[in-house]
Amino acid sequence: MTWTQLLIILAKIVVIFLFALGMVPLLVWAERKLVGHFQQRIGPHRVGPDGILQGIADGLKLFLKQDIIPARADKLLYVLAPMLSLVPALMVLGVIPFGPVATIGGRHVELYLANPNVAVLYVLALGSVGVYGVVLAGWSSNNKYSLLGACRSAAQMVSYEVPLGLSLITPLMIVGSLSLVDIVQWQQDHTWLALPGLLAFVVFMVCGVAETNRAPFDLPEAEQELIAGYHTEYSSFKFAMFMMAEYAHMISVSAIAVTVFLGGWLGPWLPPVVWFLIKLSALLFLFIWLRATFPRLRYDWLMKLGWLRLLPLALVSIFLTAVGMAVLGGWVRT
Amino acid sequence: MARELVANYYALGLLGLAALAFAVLSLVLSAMVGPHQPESEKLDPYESGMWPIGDARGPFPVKFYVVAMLFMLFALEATFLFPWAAVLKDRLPEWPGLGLYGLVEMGIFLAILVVGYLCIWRRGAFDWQQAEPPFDGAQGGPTRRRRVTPSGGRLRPQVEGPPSRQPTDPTLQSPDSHLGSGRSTSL
Repeated sequence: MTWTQLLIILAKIVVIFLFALGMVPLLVWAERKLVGHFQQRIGPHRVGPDGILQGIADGLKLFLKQDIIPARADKLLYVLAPMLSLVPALMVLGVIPFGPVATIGGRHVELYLANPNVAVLYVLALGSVGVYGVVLAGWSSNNKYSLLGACRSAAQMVSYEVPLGLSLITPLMIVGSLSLVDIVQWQQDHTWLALPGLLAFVVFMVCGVAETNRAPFDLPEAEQELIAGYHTEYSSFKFAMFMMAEYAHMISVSAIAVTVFLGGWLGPWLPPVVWFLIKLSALLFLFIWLRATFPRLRYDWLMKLGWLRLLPLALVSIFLTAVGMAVLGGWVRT
Repeated sequence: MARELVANYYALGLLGLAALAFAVLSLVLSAMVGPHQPESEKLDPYESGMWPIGDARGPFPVKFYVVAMLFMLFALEATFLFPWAAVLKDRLPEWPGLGLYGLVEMGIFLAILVVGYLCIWRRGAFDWQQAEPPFDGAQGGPTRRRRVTPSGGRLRPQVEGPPSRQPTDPTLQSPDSHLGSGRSTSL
């Protein structure tokens, strides 16, 4: 690896960080503003024009607050947990293709940090690591609400991870590659994978909302029963890191959905990156819309939806795809 | 080719290091900048403003272990599906996929799994209600508690009625009329 290559990699990392750290406060503001309007309120409007700097103000405030480690907490795990939440959520962004190869200053630069041939597995693996952050936070705080929230959260996240993984099998079967760039290129030659894999797309989106612990699947942090769930005891920037992890997770789930099912950077007229961002914003809006619309599920319904509805649906989707490939691919001769 | 692949992981490793550095740095800086006035109340676990009772690390429902075990099984199954899905199709003429052979084989594998899935479904592994005590409505929450005497005359329903009928001092009320949950009486 030459020095220029290393410099390009470092520049990409900086861009990814700026993207993530810029998107999070923006998303916080967008969510509060939109939910406000959904509820006939104005939402934040004091900090900056139309309150757009609200997220940054919140972050700054949390940064300056007192950092409390409860006396009976397990100190090491208590400090480790927010990092275990945030770091994997940021690392997922490394494999997202924001666009194809671009020419910047006469040099061909791919608009993604890395294109490993196991990108889909990498994403799922990092998603699983996120569970550790939640469980360790709940357990190490030595608070009953936190422990309850962590147990719920762990059960929910592992339950929905199964159909989430299985729903990704359908596009993988069709494309025949686990590389996200290959998947987008296949869609360039054929069609968006949401069309042949509509069922898988729906299952993926529902599981994605559950994986990120967002409403209507936000039982781990049900304010009315669990105060805040696994991060009840967290204050100051550690709390902010859990929030950032949640929003970064939302961004990465949406980005994966856009890449795998909605054609990634593909689109007419506008530059590829713009198309990617438009699709990403549309899915993020869907997340907020869902939160403003649906009431929280009851816990046994949540588990039933995951294991008894979505898991069979994901298997049915795989089966239908297999049949379709066998017929269309001419593997069965009648 | 191999070099390019390895370069991918260098890049991802660097991203991981950067994310870790960001997390550690921001935590350390925030801890240095923020005030430090620890008090015993502040350092206690938060239990809605009451004195904390006992330790949080007690027993919890065994159901969660069942979910974890089921997750292991199905995640393992998904792990088998990923490489299979990647080599199912013919990528290149000289690089044929598994084709129909692979489809049938995975069909048999999934069929065996589905039998097990149906079995644990029938055994009630996904029934969360079983392990729980009956829902409040079954015991009769305060709003539904209208006992009927053998003669048919109704006892005074233990409902928070209009304030004029109730004693004005809240401490004189029956305990479950203002706690508002049937479950609180069973504790």
